[in-house]
Amino acid sequence: MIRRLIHSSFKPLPNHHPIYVKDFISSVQKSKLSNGVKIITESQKFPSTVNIGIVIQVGTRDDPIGYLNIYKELFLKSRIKADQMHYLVLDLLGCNINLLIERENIYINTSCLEDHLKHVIPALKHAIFHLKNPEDTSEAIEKFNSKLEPESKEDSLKNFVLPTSYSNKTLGIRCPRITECKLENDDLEKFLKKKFTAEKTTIAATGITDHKTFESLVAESFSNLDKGRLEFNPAIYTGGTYRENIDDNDMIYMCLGFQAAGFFEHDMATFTVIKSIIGDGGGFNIGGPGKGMRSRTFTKFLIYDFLKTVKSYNHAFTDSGVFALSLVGFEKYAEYMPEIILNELYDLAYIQEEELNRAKNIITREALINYQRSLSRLEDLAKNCAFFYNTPDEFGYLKKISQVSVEDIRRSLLNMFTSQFSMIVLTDKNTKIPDLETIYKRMGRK
Amino acid sequence: MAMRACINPLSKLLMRSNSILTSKVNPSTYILNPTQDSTQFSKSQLVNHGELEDGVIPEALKYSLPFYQDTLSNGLRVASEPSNVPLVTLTLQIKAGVRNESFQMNGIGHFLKKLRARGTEKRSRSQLAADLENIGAAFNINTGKEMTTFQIEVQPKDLAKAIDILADVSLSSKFNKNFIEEQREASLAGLRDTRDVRKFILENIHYTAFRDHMIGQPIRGNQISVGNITQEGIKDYVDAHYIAPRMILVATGSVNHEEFRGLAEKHFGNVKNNGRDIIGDDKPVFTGSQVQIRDDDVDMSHAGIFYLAPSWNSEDYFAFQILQRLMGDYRPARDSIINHPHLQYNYLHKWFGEIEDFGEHDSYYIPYSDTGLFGHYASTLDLSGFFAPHACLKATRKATNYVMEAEKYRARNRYYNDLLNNNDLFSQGKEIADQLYYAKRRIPRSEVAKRVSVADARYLEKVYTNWLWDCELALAFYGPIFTQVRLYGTYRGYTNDSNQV
Repeated sequence: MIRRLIHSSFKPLPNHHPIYVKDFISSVQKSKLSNGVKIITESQKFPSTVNIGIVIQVGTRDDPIGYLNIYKELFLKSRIKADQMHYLVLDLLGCNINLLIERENIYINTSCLEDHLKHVIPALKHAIFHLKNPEDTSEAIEKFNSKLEPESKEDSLKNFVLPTSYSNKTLGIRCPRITECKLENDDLEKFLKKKFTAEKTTIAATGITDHKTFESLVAESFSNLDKGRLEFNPAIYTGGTYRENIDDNDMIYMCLGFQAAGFFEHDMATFTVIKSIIGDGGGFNIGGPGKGMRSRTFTKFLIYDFLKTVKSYNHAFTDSGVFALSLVGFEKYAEYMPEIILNELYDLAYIQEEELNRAKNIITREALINYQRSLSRLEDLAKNCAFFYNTPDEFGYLKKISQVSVEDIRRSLLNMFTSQFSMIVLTDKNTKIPDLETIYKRMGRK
Repeated sequence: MAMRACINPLSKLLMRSNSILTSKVNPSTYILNPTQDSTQFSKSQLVNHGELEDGVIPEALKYSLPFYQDTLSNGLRVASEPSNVPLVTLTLQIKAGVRNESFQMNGIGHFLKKLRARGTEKRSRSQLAADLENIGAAFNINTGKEMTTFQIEVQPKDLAKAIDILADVSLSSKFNKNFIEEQREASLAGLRDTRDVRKFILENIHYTAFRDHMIGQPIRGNQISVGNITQEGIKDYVDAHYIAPRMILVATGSVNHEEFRGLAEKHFGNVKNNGRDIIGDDKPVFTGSQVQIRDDDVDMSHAGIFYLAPSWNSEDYFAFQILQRLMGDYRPARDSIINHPHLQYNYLHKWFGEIEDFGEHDSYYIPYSDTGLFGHYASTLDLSGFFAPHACLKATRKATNYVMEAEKYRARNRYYNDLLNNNDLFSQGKEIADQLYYAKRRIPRSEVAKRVSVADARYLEKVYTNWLWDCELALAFYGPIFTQVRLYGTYRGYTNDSNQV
C-alpha cells in the first residue's frame, strides 16, 4: 500500500481527486495588543504556508556599541536545554528562520503550516526575546570580530556612503569592531530588556485564514512583554568627505552622494525613477536583452573608456535619504570623474518621455514581481505597520511611480545640487581629485 | 536513568538512544531528567508539536490552481495555470540540451543562447533590447543537460507583445558568420572563468559519472568544441530540435487560456512537426570514478560525492526527494555548535560541526529522463578537506540503515513548506513544463503531498539501501588537495561495512 502510494510519478494516484480552486483577493487587518504590540495579517490569496515576520524597531542607528552583532552571533545558539527545546520545535516543523540586522530595525521571518502556529509562535518569542547572557558572550565577540574580513574596494565604497553622509552618527553608524569596549556579562541582557519592548514590536503574517485567531495566539505569548516607549533619534544629513589611500593598479574608486528623500516623502518615487534611469553595471559582456542595457550606465557613462563600473544607490529611510553614484575607473582621469557625474545628472533634466516611460515600466514590473512573492509582501506589511501603522498600498505606490514627470525629476535634481555633497574616494595618495570646495566653486555655488 | 515518554501522539515514536533501551520500557513508569551531560542522542521527551498522522496532508495542500492544457495541430503542447497575480510569465521549453549535442560541437546549445541576443530576422540587437525594456520585461534563457528554457515575464496588457518577442527570439534568430565569430571570442573567454566553484564541481561530477555520454559533457563546451562550431552546425541543430512535438509553451499568472491558445496558434502554429534524426536518446551508463583537480592557489578544498539515483519516472523518485530534504544543507553560521538542536536529529550536521573551519554543504537530487544523481557538495579549508567527504559518506550510509522518525517528520515538513511556498511565476512555469515533459501530465501538489505523507521510515530505508548501499560513486575534488584525497577504493568501501569510519 505504502509502496504503491509513494512511488510512480507517471501514473495518477488512484482515488485521489485534487480540489481545483481559483485564487482570491486577500484582505489586510491590523490590531494592537494592550501593551502596544502591533499585529497585521493578510488573508490567504490561495492556500499556502503562513509566513511570519517580526519587526523590532531597534537597528544599528540605535546601537553604536554593536550589541546587535553579538545578538546575531548568539541567536538560536543557546546551550541551555530549555532554550534548545524551543529551537527543536522550530527545526522539526521545517521552519527556516532568517534574522536581518538593518539600520532602523531587526527583522526575523519564518514560515510554517497554519496548524503549527500554536507551537511556532511561543518558540519564536522565546528564541527572540529570552536571549540569556551566557558566559560565552566573549566567544561570540571573538567570532564576530574574526568574521570581519577585509572588504572589497567596491563594497568599501558602498559602505562608506552613509557614514560620510551622516558623520558617523545615527544612520551613519558603521558596523563596529567590538574590541574597544569591555562588556560586562549582563550588558547585553540590559540592552535587550531596554530596547526589545512591546511598543517597538510588530508581528505580521500572510496566508492567515482568521485574524482574530492569530491575534489570540500572539496575545498568549507576547502580552507579557514590557510596554517600553518609542524613542527616535532623528538623522541629520551633513555630507562630507572620506578619503582612503590604497594602492590598486592605477584604479580609483569614487562615489558622490546627495541628500535625497525619506521613504514617505513625496519625492521618494522620483528618486526611484532616477535610479532606474541610470541603472548600474560594468562591461558590455555582462547583460543581454532585457537586462538594463538601455540604461544610462551603458548609453552614457560607459562610453568613457576609462570607466569600468558604474553603480547608483538610493537609500531611503523613515526620516532621510541619500542618493549616490559611484564610478570605478583609471586614476589618471580622476579629476574628470566628479564632473562626469554632475554633467550626466544635469542631463537628466532633459530626459525624453520614451526613456522615462521605459524606466517606469521596469520599476512596475520589479514591484509586481515582489508583490507576487509572499515573503516580500510580508516584509512590506511588517515595516509599514511598524513605522506608521499603515497598510501598504502597492498599487498606490505604482500610481505614484507612473505620475513621476520630467518636472518632478528637475525639482529633485535641483534639491540634490543644492544640498551638501558626500564624497568618498579610494585611490593612491598622489592622485589629484577636486575636493568639495572646488566642485562647489565650479558649479557656481557659494 | 529513568525515562518518561510524553503522553501524546508522539509517544508512538520509536526513539532510539545510545544509552536507553526503549523496547523494554513502560513509558508511563519511567522518568528521565535530562541534564547538560546527556549524550547527544539520548532523547528526553519531544514536545508535542501537533504532527499530522501518516496519510493526512495539511489542509492548504489539498487545493491546486485550475490547469488547462491543449495541443496545437502541429503537436506543440500549450498549457496555462491562471491566477490573480498581476503579471504573466511565458515559459517555452524545448527538448534540446547537452545530451543532444555531438562531441565535436559540444556547447552549441549554450553558444546559441548567447547568439540569440544579437538579433533576429525582424529585430536588430538594439531593437530587441529596446522592445523588451520598453515593456519592462524580464527575459531569460537557460540551457541544461536535457532542456532549453526561454522565459519572459510582463504585465498582462503586454501578453501579445511578449509572445511575439518570444517566438521571434526562439524561432527566427540570425546566425550570420560575423555574429558567430564575435560570439566565439566571447565564449572562449568565458570558458576561462571558474569563479562559480559549485557549478564547476557539478560539471566534473557529471563528466566523471557519465563518461562517453553527452550528458556528462560541460554545458558551455570546451576550447576545442567551441572552435568547431559552424553556421551549418547551428542550422542542423536547430532544424533537428526546434520542432513542435519537442516544445511545450506554458503561461502562468494573469492569463485567459483561450486568448493565450489563440496567440500560441498565431505565433507557433507554423513550427514544423518533424526534423532529422536526433542523438542522445541512449541511456547514460554510470561509471564509478574519481576526478581530482589540484589548485594550490585557492584557499578552500571542494568536494562532490555523488551516487546513481532514480530518474524522473522511477518508482523511487519521491523517496529521493525526501532524502534530499532529510540531508538538507549546512551553514556554519547557522548550524555550527555541538549539541545544537539541529544536530540532535541530523547526524550530518553533528559530524560537520566537529570539523574545524568547515565551509558549506548542500545536498542535491538531480533527476533526468532515464538516470539521476544524488549527492553532496562540501567545502572546507585545506587542512580539514580530509574529513568532509567521510562525513557525507557516513551520513548517506546511515540513511540506508536507519531513518529516524524525527528526521522523516522534518523532511516531510520541509517538503510541505517547499510545495506551499512555490509562488514565483518563473519557477511555477518551469515546474509545469518539466512535469508535462517527464510525467506527461500536471501533478497537483495535493498528490505530491499525499505521496509524501505516507512515507514510512522503514520503507525509505529499503529504498535507500537498494540505491546507496555497496554502490559505485562519482567523486570530484578541487583545490589544494594534495594530502587529503584517498584512492577511489577507500571511498567505495565506505558505502558498505568493509570500511568503518
